[in-house]
Amino acid sequence: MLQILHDRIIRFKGSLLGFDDLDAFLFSQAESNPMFGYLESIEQEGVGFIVAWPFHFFPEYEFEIEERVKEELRIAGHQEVVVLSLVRVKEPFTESTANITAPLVINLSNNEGRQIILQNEHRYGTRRKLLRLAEPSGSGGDAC
Amino acid sequence: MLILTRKTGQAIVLDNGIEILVSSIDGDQVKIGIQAPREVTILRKEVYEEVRQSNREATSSKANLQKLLGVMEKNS
Repeated sequence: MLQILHDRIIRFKGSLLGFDDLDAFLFSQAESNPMFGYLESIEQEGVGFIVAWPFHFFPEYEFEIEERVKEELRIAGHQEVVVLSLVRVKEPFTESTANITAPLVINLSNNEGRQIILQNEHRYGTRRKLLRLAEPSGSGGDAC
Repeated sequence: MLILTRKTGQAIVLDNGIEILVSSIDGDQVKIGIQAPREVTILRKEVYEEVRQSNREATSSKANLQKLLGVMEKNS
């Protein structure tokens, strides 16, 4: 899924909050799982993020990209865009979460990206668990 | 920090293009209207801080990605 981004340098123009002075990040796709990748700063050593394709993990996830973001990134159509979520690994790793309140939106045609913050923040969440393990009791849960 | 006193219906203008209006007051809740150019991002501060904190906590090594993938595979 994220193969198309492999080895590309994406420019976020300081839009990653907390990393406002960083622009260029190199993306590499995880070899064994196309839903994951790694995004590392080429400007500051040691700054890197595990990222995931959120729609695989949260099938109900959807949002509209604001017009002004489309203009900034010069997005003309949906086929040009890839969305990533930052993953926070936790111990144990089964507790790892994704931030779907503040996705990274990337225009494939010019390798420009922005972290945007979705206004309806309560519906999304900055700490959504990636793994939905079987519930300990009751409530059924997804069998997969 | 500049502190200004305003009444309901009164506004403040920033930088010729941004208007902040005190729309209504009810106890300790204030409704604020903001008129700003489209390129101006407006966020509740706590959301902004939460994302910043979350980003900082998300930095991780590439080695962790391999470990995470191993766990994902076992549990899929």
